[in-house]
Amino acid sequence: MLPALALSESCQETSNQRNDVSRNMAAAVMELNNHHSNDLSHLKRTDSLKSPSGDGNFTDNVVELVQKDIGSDLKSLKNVAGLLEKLTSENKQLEEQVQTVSSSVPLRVSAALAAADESRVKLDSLLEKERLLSNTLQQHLQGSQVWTDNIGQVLGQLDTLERHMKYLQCLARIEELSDSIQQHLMTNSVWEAVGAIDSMASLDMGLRESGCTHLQSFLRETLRFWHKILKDKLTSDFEEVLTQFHWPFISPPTQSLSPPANAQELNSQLELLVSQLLSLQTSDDLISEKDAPSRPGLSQNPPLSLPIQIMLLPLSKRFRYHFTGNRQTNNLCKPEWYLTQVLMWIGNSSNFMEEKIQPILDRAGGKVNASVELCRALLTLGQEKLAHDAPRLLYDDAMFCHLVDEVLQFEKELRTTHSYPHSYPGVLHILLEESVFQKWLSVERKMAVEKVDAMLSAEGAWSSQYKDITDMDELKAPDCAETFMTLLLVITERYRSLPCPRAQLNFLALQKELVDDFRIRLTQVMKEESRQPLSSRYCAILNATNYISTVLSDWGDNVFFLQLQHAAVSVGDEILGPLGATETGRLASLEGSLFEALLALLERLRGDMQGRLRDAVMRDVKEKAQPYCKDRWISLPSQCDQATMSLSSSACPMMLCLRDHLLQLQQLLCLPLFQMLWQGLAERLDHFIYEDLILYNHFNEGGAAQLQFDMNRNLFPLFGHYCKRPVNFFKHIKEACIILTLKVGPALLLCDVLKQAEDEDGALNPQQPSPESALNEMGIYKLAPSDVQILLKLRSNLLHQ
Amino acid sequence: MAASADVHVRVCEQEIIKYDLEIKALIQDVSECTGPQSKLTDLHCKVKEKFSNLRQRIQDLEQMGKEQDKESDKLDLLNKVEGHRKQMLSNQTAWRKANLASKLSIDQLEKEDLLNSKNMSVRHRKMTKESLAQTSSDITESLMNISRMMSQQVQQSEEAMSTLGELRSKDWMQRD
Repeated sequence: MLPALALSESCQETSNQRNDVSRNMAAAVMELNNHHSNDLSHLKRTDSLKSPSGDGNFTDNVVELVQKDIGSDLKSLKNVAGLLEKLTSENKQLEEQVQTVSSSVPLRVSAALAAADESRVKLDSLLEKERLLSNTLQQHLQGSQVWTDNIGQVLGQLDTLERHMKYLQCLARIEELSDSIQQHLMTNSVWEAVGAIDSMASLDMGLRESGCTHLQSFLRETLRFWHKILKDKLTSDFEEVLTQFHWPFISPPTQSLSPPANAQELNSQLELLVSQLLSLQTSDDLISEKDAPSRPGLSQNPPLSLPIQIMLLPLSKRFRYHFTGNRQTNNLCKPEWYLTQVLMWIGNSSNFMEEKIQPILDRAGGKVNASVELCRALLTLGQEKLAHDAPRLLYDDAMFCHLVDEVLQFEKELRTTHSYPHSYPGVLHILLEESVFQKWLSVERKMAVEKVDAMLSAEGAWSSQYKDITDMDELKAPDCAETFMTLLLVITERYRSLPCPRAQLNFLALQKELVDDFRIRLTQVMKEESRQPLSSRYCAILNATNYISTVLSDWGDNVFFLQLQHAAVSVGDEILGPLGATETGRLASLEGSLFEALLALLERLRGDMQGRLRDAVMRDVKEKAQPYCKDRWISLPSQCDQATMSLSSSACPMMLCLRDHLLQLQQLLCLPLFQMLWQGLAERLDHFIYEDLILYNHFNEGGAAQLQFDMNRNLFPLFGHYCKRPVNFFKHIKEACIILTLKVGPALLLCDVLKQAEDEDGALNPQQPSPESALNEMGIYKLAPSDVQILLKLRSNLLHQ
Repeated sequence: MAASADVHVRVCEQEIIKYDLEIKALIQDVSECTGPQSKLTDLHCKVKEKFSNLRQRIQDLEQMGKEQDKESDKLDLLNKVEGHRKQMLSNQTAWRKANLASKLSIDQLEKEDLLNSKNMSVRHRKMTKESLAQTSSDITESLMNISRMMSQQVQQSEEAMSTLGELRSKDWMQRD
């Protein structure tokens, strides 16, 4: 009984111990858990022990663990120590981990937090400082407000006073100047008066920005008053002197006019007056500023020099007398009258301006060119009249054309004979005014279309003007093509000197339209003639196409069109239609030209026509060659002697046809086109005879010899006029003849070589010659080995091979 | 035959190269040209002439290529011709650029020059003299052309006359 008791007691104790152990362990685990309740992701094994609130579960788990490890095996109780050790070491490890982990994070975080704290502290201190400062400032400002107000008032008063003073000073100065001018005028000291007016003018310019309108207008009026007096005085003196010099020169100056008696005095007077008038220029400009009519075209020019203005007066009076109002000389249909008059006056006066006036101007230091100035002055008269008349002529085509012609002529003479510089506008800008320009374009178009109609229906339209003069007639261009290009050239001459690239581009667009139209007409005529491509008219159309292409590609190199191309890249879109990116690129880099599209279309037409021509000839030749193809090649007697051989009679029609066509075309077509044609023909003939004759028949020795003779001594020499080695344009025939006329021995060897190569089919024995090199040795370069094999089989003496 | 053809090919190629380099030199002249318009026009004519010579020689080379016996030679030459043509096209583009640039700069210079008044009268006289000289040479050339054409016509009509005369005399003799 005792052992059972003892056993039950020991069991009880064990279970007590077990409970203790488990409680201890639970406590230890709880402690562990408390340590790292924050960082739980590392602790996978004790996941189930996460929540510190789940104490009850937690001890159960521990009990489970204990039961698992120890169970009811009392003996394994001695492992408890080990287990405890294990668990404590694990615990320690985990603790360390957590501590290191949890201690490293706070390190960084705490550093950041510390820095943030620091900056916050700093910010606070700065804000504090700022607050203090602004307070101080506010106080200061408030304090000084009172003084500033006071001082401000005083300063304001001072300002007003100062302004008033200046104003009065200005007025005083004006008065002073007025007085001095008056005094100088009374004492007739013109130079001083001029000087005083000049200073008044500079004062006026100085006051330009001012807001004192009354002062300004007063000054202006005063200036105007004195200026007028002085100017009138000088003008009358100047005019007097000019009449002594026989100004204006209505008729060309003649040498017979004896120089005036007091030439010296007059000259010095002239000098004096001109230089005085020059000095009045600034004031004159100021005064005429307000009065200047705001004409957009003319106001860009600097105002005319004063002496020149005065010199213009008698001329302008005469101009108005003749060319305005109801006079016979004011004729709308005769613009050349007033244009020529202007040119004449310019011409007549140029000598006087250069010799008398220019030196004076140079000495006075004015950068004025006398003759150019006079030109400019006279031009204004012409420009006004033209601008007035042009819109009134829009309703009559003939008169309008005449006007345009005259204006262009005038401009040309102005620029060349009178060397009017290009930097000043002439009269062409008047023609560029919208309604006038549109009318010009439409009239130009109308006339051009009429001319094209006329030239295409003229008698000798399709014959060349220079037919009989062979050395001049390289391109054999028919009359209509030449007239057409001349028309384009004339239009170009007309718009060449226009000052505005846009206008020029408009004309270019017109020209391109005309070329396209002409091309379409050529196509139409071509279609009418397409049944007889071998006629002279067809060839003439072909020549025309070639001629126009040649001239247009030539124009692509012309520097005028290059300049236009340059302009087209920037502004061409609106006028020439939308340009694709490639085209714009080609235009900008100058690789392409403005006429590229047209040239492409013409090229296509030319190619088309040439193709038809060639096909027509081939059709004819093929027809005539039928008997030749069907000749009995296999049963011709063999010839021993080549000298007695003659052309097969069945070949005669074909040769005749070919010969006649070649001669005719050579005469009708221009050289480059004929070159392309005969080469194309040769190629097609080569193929035709090779395929329809050679491959179609079998040849005995005699047949082969005859064929070779026919080809080498008859066909090829037909083309011998046009090249050195016509045989090389018929390579298929040439090489086929070589094969067909090979002696039996070499032929058999060749057969073998080719068969072997075919059998081996790629396994090249380096010692065996390749079939190509064998063929090359015989002079065969174009035909492939397979072709040669076929040809060899056509030989009757090899048929059984 | 092959040897002489070879020589021809070589000579042709040499001429092509010569023309090409001459054109390049002339293009350089064009781009350096600051002179009057007439000088630029002169150079223009020279370059055009050289281009047409070059084009002709390239065509001759092409013809020689087509006449070669061996296919390989033919293809070789035709490739070279293609190359020469591309060179010529690039020369043409370069010439256009140089031409345009020079023209624009000369225009600019003339504009600035003409604003200087002192040269006006001198320029005026020089220009009129130049234009007169140009017109007179144009007239001489036209006259020469006309006289050549007239002499040709005279010759033709002389021959016609002599033939007619013969015929007529034959006619007389037959009648008799």
